[in-house]
Amino acid sequence: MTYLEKIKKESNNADDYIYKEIKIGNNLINTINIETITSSEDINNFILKRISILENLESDNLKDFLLNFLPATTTEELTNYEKLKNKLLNGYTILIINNKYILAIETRRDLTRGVAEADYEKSIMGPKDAFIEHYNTNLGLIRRRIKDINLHIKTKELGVHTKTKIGVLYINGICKMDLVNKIVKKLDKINIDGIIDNNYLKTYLNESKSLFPTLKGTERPDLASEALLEGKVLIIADNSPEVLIVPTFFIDFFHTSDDYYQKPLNVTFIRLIRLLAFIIAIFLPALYVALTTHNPDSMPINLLLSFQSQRMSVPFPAFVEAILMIIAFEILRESDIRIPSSMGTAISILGGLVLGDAAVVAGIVSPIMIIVVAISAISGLLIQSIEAINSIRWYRFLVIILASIFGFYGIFLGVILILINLSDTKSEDKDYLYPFAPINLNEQKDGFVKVNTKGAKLRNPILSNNKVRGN
Amino acid sequence: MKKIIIIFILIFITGCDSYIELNDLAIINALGIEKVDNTYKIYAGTVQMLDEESLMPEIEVYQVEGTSLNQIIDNLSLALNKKIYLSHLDLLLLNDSIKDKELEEIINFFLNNNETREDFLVINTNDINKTLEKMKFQEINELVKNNKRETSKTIYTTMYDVIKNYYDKKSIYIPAINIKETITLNGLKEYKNNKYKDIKSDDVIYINYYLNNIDTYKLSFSCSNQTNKYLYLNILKGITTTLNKEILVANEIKVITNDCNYSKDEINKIFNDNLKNKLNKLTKKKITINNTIRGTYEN
Repeated sequence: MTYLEKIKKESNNADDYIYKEIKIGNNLINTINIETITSSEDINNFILKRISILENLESDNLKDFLLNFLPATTTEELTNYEKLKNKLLNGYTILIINNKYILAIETRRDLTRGVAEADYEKSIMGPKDAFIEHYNTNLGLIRRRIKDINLHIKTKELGVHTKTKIGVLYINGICKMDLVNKIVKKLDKINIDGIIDNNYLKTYLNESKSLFPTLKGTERPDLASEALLEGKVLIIADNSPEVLIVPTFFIDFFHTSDDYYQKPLNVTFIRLIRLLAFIIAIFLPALYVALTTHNPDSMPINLLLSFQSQRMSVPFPAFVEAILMIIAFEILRESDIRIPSSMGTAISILGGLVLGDAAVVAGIVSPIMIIVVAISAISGLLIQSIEAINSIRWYRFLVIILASIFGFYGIFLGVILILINLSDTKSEDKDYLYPFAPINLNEQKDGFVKVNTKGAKLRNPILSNNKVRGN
Repeated sequence: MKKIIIIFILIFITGCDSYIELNDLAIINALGIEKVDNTYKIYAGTVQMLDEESLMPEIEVYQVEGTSLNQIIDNLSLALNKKIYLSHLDLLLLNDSIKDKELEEIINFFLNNNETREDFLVINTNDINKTLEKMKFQEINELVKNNKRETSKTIYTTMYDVIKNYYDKKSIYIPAINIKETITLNGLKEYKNNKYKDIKSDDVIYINYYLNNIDTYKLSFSCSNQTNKYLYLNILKGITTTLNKEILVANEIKVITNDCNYSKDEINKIFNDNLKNKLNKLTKKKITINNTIRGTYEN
């Protein structure tokens, strides 16, 4: 069976597979390309036009001529059918010369969008560009920032059917090689149908059972480049607008790219606000439940009376009221994410004004509970990672349940459980709570407190052996 | 598995029966106790919001009788159909009917009740019911606090002080309230050896000196050689240090009016003589006074 027949059979004569037969003297050239992923213009200009002007050539000479003189950036000679399939499916045009030689010429159609602004990792002062779904563009955005020959890439193709291109990026000389090798080994072990997005890899790379994310995805090339300079490893996947940063520490979720473009004092303030918001997001509803059901003695009497009067017509216990409101918020948030943006305003009005006000008037929830859940929910959104926000949600539920059973004691139990969980978590064998546990005083300069870049001269010692920045 | 067992032990040995909804609480803000013919009469002042729109809490005074305090609180709970909540108790009113046995029972009641604190104000009044009806409890609290801070003519006595002095067998000083048309502070009641003794407001200053509890106060002296002329002093600060055989007093004094044209030494002498004279009635220890005097005086 010829190559041509094999492809036709395996593709079940798919409509978008284009076959052409060109005769040049005694030679027969069969071209195959997939119309939907190749550029017809490139095929016409750089392949067909060139071939059509050829005179009679020997089979070997014809192959050499095409290999060397076709003005395409990537032209390869293939040796077997598997490679032929792979290239064909990657947007190459295949030339089969006398069913003997196979050439693959890159004629990929650009199916990606242009570099756009970051969507969920907004920055006020920093660069605005963001990764897109194109491997090479994403790589280019990083190379544009790090013009170092030591920026190395190990590439792989993962996914039995998707053959997704995965790149492991690191700076040789800064990053520890055992980290790179470990990640590559883990990637090698992945055997699944397909990698549709970078997030598929998280399941395989993440060994921790913690609810907190141990891998951070970023859509910002500046943040990714910063991570590389710290000695971290990036994982880029084709078709994914996010780049994974490995390893990720707890403190990383409190840092944004803007932190490196502003005065350290302001950054320190805003980081402490983020920490406060994180604590509020988890503990505020639980605190309210504990105060109103177990520990009213901890409130000033005026506040106690105010709470008492507000809860007068509410038929549910405070715990049920809190759970109802949090679930209502989660439904609103999910619907806001899923529906088209044109309907977002309607949902906001319905959710925020109608449901909130109507629920109070109807006596289903107390106004103070709406305030508590709203503050908690808004505080949770200060952290940019959606996975971190989701983990906050679970801890919030856990602490509310504990508070409703044990009051303040339950909240302390919750704090201890969360601390145990965080201390027990590892990201690529590195302590998740680093640089706080184990403590590293030098790294505190870019922890919750930020000092001037001039003051932070040393690199993170658990990420890099090259300790001094600038080397 | 071990972790889970430890967590369960931790959880179940601590107990979790303190669950209560806010609206099931009867918040008692003031409690008045008197004994009449071997029966306790308790006046419980509750604060509550009548509805969601009300801005100010309503105060209601309930009167219950019984032979023991615990029994009375149980009866009160049944009458109100709510849990009696004493954690926000701000005021305890007693009268002269509360003596040794009763005081011990009251102290035991509060010490054994783990929901109450001991930082609430204790006062003595001639008419408990009228006092509770006439004035908001927080106002009584403020009245004592302000008087203490501005005049040093009273003592802010908490339940903790009462308990401590009772077991130390020391005098218990309780601010006294006199109720007529308005409520006024009327010096102190000193409880010692099962008896109450009245102390006038002006003398309370020297008890405060003795207890090292002076805030600020004003003092005037008539000029020795001129009528209707005064030496008017503002004592900004007074610190007392009690040693084995001696009491050291340090004062910061500001002269406000010096009609008598006294010199600094004269002012010092007049003030010291007066203070020594008063303190000698409270203690036999040697008294040494050091003053810093500022203001108008003849050099």
